[in-house]
Amino acid sequence: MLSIGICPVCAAGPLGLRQCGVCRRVVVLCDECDVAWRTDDPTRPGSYGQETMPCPGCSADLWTAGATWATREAVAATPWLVKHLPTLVESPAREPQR
Amino acid sequence: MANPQQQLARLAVGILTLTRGRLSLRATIGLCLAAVLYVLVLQPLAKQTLGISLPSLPAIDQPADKPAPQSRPAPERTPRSGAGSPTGVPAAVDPADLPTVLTDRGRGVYESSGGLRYTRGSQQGHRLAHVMAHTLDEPDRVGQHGVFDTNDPAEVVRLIDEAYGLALAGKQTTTQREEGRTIYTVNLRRRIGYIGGESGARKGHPSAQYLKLVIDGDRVITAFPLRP
Ligand SMILES: [Zn+2]
Ligand SMILES: [Zn+2]
Repeated sequence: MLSIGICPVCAAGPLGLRQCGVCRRVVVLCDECDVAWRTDDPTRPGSYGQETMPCPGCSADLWTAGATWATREAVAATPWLVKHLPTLVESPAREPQR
Repeated sequence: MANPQQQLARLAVGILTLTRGRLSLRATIGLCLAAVLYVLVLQPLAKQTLGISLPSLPAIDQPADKPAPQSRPAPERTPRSGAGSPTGVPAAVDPADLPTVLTDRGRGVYESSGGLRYTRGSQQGHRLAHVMAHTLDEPDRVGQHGVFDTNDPAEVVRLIDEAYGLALAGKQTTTQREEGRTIYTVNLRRRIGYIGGESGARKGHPSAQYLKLVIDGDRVITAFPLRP
């Protein structure tokens, strides 16, 4: 899993980069408290998971519906994420258990 | 071949252990009588008249697919690592197995006696399983990963209820509110776990006496030990 920092909401989960299986956007997702943002600006409204984890772009479930952790290629193809490429942190991903 | 007395003794214990609470008394007695008939009549008869040795009855202990029950381990003071498991999370926990602490409200919703609801959701599929991911360390996880000292789901639910009670009473708690989340940081004033993950490992797994509880209304989103 590639991440760009620690979640400002729970102060524990990594801010992972998740690619939506439906709209194909790369979004920022905390897999600890289930909050996702459309960009790397966490002051903008996010989307909050309950039974599903809605993509902030299209509302598809980020835990199912073909979503995956984003690859470096997908990150490089996302303009607002390019500046993070040199400092991306890579760590083992938890994969959805459903 | 074991002698008939040994075979019968082993078998009787096995049958009683295996069928306890599952077969009626009559069925259990029937099973025992069939075993007695086999060992005391059929086996000797086959040997005498046909000259063949029928096999001994097997010893029945526990079913092979079910591990023997273990007593609950004492709270650990050394890191339990999930690194060896492919998912990094503990074996699946079924909230239906915890009737003393959770009430089934239907549709996968379980309510604690403290009034918190554990629902479907999270990448583990259920919020209780998500919380239980904090009973194992994930040494490679970025940042802090709080790990409970206990790995007993009922004890974890009770601990979270205790923290929620303090939070609702405004005691020993700092509260932060986001649009879809309320985040309580509660000081339990005793050790409840330690800090794991990459950052915890770097600091020598310091102990934790705070619990972070993230909720949405009365739904648990996550909860874990931390050092603020
Ligand atoms: Zn978070
Ligand atoms: Zn989407």
